[in-house]
Amino acid sequence: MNSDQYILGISAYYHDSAAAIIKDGVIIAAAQEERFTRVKHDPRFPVNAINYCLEEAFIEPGDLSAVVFYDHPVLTYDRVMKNCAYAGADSFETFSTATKSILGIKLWVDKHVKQAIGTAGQLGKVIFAGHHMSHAASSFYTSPFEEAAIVSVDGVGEWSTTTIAHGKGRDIQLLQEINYPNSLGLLYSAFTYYCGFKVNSGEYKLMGLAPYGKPVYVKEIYDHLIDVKEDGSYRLNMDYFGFLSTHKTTNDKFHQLFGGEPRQPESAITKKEMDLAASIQQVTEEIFIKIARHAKKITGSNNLCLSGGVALNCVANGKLLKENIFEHIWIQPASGDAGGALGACYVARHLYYKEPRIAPNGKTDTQKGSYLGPGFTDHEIVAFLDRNKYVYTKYSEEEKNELLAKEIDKGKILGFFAGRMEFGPRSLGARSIIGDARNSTMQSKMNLKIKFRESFRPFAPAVLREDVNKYFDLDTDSPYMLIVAPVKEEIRKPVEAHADSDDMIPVINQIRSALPAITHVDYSARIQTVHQETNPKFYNLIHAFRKLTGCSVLVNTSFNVRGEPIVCSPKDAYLCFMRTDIDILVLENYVLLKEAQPKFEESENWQKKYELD
Amino acid sequence: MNSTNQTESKIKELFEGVIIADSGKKYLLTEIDKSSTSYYETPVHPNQAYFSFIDVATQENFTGYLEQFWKESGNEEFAQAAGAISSLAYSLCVDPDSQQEDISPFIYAMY
Repeated sequence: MNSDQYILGISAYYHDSAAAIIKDGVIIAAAQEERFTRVKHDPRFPVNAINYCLEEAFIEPGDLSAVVFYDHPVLTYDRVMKNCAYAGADSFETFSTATKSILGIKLWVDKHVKQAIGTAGQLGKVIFAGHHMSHAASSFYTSPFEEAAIVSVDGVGEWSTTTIAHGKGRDIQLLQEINYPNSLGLLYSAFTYYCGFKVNSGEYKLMGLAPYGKPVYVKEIYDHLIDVKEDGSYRLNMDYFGFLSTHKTTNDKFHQLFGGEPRQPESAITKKEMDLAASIQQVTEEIFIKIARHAKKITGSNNLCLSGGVALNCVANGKLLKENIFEHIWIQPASGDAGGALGACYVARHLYYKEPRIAPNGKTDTQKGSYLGPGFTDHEIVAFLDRNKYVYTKYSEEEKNELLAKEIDKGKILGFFAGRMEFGPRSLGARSIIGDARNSTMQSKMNLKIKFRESFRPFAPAVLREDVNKYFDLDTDSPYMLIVAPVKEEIRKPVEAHADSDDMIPVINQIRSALPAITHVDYSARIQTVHQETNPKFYNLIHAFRKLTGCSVLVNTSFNVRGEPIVCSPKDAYLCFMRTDIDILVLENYVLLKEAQPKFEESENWQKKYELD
Repeated sequence: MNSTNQTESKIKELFEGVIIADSGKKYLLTEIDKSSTSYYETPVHPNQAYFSFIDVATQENFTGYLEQFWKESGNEEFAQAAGAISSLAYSLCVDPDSQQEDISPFIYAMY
């Protein structure tokens, strides 16, 4: 099989359903189902994402060589049975729920695929790729490396929670693993839950909260919750966790250890949560670095590929980079379950069909900037705008960027919609809300009036690649916003030592640098380097802003409100624009001003539609 | 007895007849061992960890698949329950649109 081999990968039924398609080893499309259904983290069978992938590839389902699922339900059921045998009679509810979920739904992927698209491809049956193998494949086969150590860390997939593998050419060999119930991801999620955030989305908040606190609970964590060896392997002390026999991650003993019941969601965040966040973040970083050192030792590689949900912990990634254990690190931007769909495609291509890998060039990845989702033509955008009588002006690319640069400089906030939507959890300039990083009120305005989210949460800078070292202690590519690095000393501003109290507001409002909107409380920033090659539209906007102001950094946050999936279509973008204090909507080269739009009314309360994340 | 109750009854039967009967076995590695230098394992399920197929073409095929799976991994008790599990799977098989009991967002979905 040498040409026109189309493989469809699917992830579903856990977190973030998604589909991806590759043609002869080249990524054609990938998207999360939530973007189409508008249900955040939608776990349902991704029929919309599958249809989009087929459309983007311009093929019929019968043209598919194979369909691959990213997880093995029988292995997962084996784990459930053994978990419940271990836990005993108390675990019946867990067993009953899991049995219905796995034997009733997940086992029947082959049937669901055939119901949805009429075929499981020319192979005639769905291939089941291993969960962690899918993660590993998603990072290695898209990386710039011919050979690499591969580390995957997540909550749990089938049995595994942490795997170390070695990739070389078209092959991946799994070398070592840590299995359920011992899980770094579940440990982090336990603290996410205990601190009152939603599991699987609140981990990011916990990471953002960590710099406000002090790691005063680190000793308690090491003494009671986890035993860690020098090689980074670990075991949890299950006396403190509830998930073996109940639906709860933590138990009373865990709560007693940290002085009381979990924080109620949406209640005030106190110093205790800040300190817990700082503590679990430090422990995670220390273990992560030990695992990486061990992976280096057993593979001898100078390159590292990372994936799994824990690889989205960009603070830990930044610390790992600083350790210089590996010469090069590449992190799959869709590191969570959604990315498993992409990895599953490559498992089929290289391990099942044994097709050779397209030789990597050692420098650039093949993820295409992760702009792998739907894009919209001028014709489609104009049709949408005219049909609804929305008021717009069309500009040339250059005129538009000059205008937008001036508006940003005046403090205006843009909804920026350009090119194909991002695959993965981060907005990278295709579906982004953009503002001036120099503006001292931008963080609170964006958090409270646009995103409607917690005021402590930091924003990320998008910076021209060639200028990254002018502002940050980083001189490497970070196109996927997966690395945190310090703001340069030269642009920092001194602040009073922050009060050791429950009140974060004075700390949040401190001006810490010449780029206050993106400088976190510890002078760090989650950096996106913007590259002409992968996103010329966003690059040109920042370039125009630099020409006007001398500054090549903009605030870049996801184009959505709290609890809403990132916008996908012009309609989604317009709704978000009108529901919030975004000043200007940019749909490719069509610019819409808020004050020029017709009166906006909705029949339903949209804030009820999007459950707070 | 309606079909929902029959299914619940089958799940309970499986739980009591296989799971509880097998309880006490150290299936999970949870002991903290201060004297060991590593908790890493070599891949426990190498046949499935890369890729594989699951034969659910017929109930009999799936029974055979499960029997082989558990015999290969040394779980004779589970292998003997393959027929009951396969039967349960066929009676539980539902349209994916009717899926998903509401799971709390404060719980990590692990099955």
